[in-house]
Amino acid sequence: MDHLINGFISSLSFVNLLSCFLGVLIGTVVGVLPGLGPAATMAIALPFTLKYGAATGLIMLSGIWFGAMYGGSTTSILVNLPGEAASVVTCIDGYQMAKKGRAGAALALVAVGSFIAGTLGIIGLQVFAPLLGNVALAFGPPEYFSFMIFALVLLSNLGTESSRKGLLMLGLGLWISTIGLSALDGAARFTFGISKLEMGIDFLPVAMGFFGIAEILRIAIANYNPPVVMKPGLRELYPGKSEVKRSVAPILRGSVIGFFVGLLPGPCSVVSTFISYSLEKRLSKTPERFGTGMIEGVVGPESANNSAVMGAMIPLLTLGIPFNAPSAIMLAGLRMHNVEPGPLLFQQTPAIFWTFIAAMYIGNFILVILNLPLVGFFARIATVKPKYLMPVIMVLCLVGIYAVRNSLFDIWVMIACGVIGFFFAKRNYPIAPFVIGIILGPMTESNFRKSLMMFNGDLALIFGRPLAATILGFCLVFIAYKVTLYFLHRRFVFNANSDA
Amino acid sequence: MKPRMKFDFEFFLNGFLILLGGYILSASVRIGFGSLKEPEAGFFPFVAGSIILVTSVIGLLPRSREGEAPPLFQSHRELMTFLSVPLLSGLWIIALPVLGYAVMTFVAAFLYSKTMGLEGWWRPLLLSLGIGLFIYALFDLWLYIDLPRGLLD
Repeated sequence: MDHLINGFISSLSFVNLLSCFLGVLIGTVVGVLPGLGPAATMAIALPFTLKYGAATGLIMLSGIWFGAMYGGSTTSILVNLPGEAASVVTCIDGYQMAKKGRAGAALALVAVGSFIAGTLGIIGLQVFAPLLGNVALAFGPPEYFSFMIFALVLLSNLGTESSRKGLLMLGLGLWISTIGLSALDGAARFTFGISKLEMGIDFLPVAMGFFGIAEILRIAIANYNPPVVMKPGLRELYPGKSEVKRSVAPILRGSVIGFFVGLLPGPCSVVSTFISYSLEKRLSKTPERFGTGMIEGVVGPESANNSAVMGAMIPLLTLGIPFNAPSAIMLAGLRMHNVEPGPLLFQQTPAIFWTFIAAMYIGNFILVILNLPLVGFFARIATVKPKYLMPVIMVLCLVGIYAVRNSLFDIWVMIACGVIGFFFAKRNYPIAPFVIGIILGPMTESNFRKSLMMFNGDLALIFGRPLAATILGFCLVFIAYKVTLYFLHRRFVFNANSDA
Repeated sequence: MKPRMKFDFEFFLNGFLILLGGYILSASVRIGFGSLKEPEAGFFPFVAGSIILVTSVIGLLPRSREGEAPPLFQSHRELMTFLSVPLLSGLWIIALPVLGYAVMTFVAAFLYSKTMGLEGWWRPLLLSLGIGLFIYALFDLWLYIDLPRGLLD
């Protein structure tokens, strides 16, 4: 409890409070605007967190992340336009509610639901993270290696149409991570005689290129269709009694689903919304009315995506392993401040963790009081034309990336990655496995080589370690399941074609 | 009449990645593969190179192709807008040490806004002036970042 009180004292400092406010504000705006997602914005915001400490940076970045989760719901309900992927499901019933004149009630209940889910998520994070951190102290290289394999297998999305592309991007990310001097023996790898490459390719320009510049390029060439925005008045924000009653259980279920989905590798926020929506539909006495403006289909998924953010912080903070793109960027942000998340975080720098936890409570509260009265303002932001916004973001990227290391080379890397990222995105090559491959690459390599040396080259001995064996067992079951599914699908398609 | 040759991006990309994968494998062996008992610096890149090589070879197989993909650019204007962003950024990087960030930010913001479709002169001028002032306030006054001043030094 003392830790938490100290955390509140630290998070109530002017700088941390400002960072929290700016984080959730920028996050909400980004969530409202279609195009730039939280990962891109977090990458662009990273240089601005350098001036202050690690906790301040972490607060701002996570504020952007969960602010975006909230902001996305505003345009989904009012404009039928999801600001980011985790709000796609909200459009289904949210916009239908708006058409029936219940937009205000939907927004108010989403705000309350997101607040409750966020708070429950923070409590979960506060309770489970230190416990898991203590357990993780006993982990050796084989356990870490198993966890990384688990993350990489799930991220490459084996067995689906895009599995090859996911695996390819993962391979590319892992290779990029090996460029430079080897951390274990100092051997130069893939430097092509360029001295700048000896220190390796910095993660930040790559992330800003693949997420930020690539997205700017995509938006710049896309045709712009101005959205039609519904404007609810303040009075309409009061939900009816039955709407409140019907929302309670979906909010709680969504919070639990989101938190646990957040613990898994992959786009947790998006996945949690789909699971929550289908669960609400299954539990409903009138499933046929879903899609016509059911409040359960709005508050459940929106609560889930908020608590998923908090769940995703657990593997990041306790193991130092990011399971999705935004947490990879948070890891990069912490490393920029020379803080390595992992089990030792709670012993060596507990102040960072507890300041962060306290700031999340405050940020969650700011989000509600900021969003409810300003809902009309945020909805209007969705109508800002990209031709005004993109030049600002482009210049911010250029100056921002230069400001980190005063390096023109980094800007070249960012622009090159932006162009490559644009083509990859156009052909549906997933960016997340690539980025996570880069950030997990050095850890995976180090633990892989250490494990091999520990077991004298016989990697099968890893199954003699209970935890590592369990995790790898999960991986094998997952691979077997996906491969079986793939062949069954192919057989079904083949039979269908033969019948035709 | 001869059918017009179409640029197959997937074919080009996978072909390039096969070459890259092959290069990574050979370079990994050159760096030093070691053994399973004592892996060396080339061991892990070898694994990454193998993933790249195998997945890009699969990508060239006819069965894995996802039918005809839409063109990368729908019109000449889209291609020009796309090209202008990296080109202007390249110019910005080259001219930054000489002209300084204040001039280059203004010029870049103006040119970006024109290429991204902002009509007339006044709006792009006002927007770039605003961006220039914002960058100055944020980086120079608030964050104390030592940006190149070029001519203004």
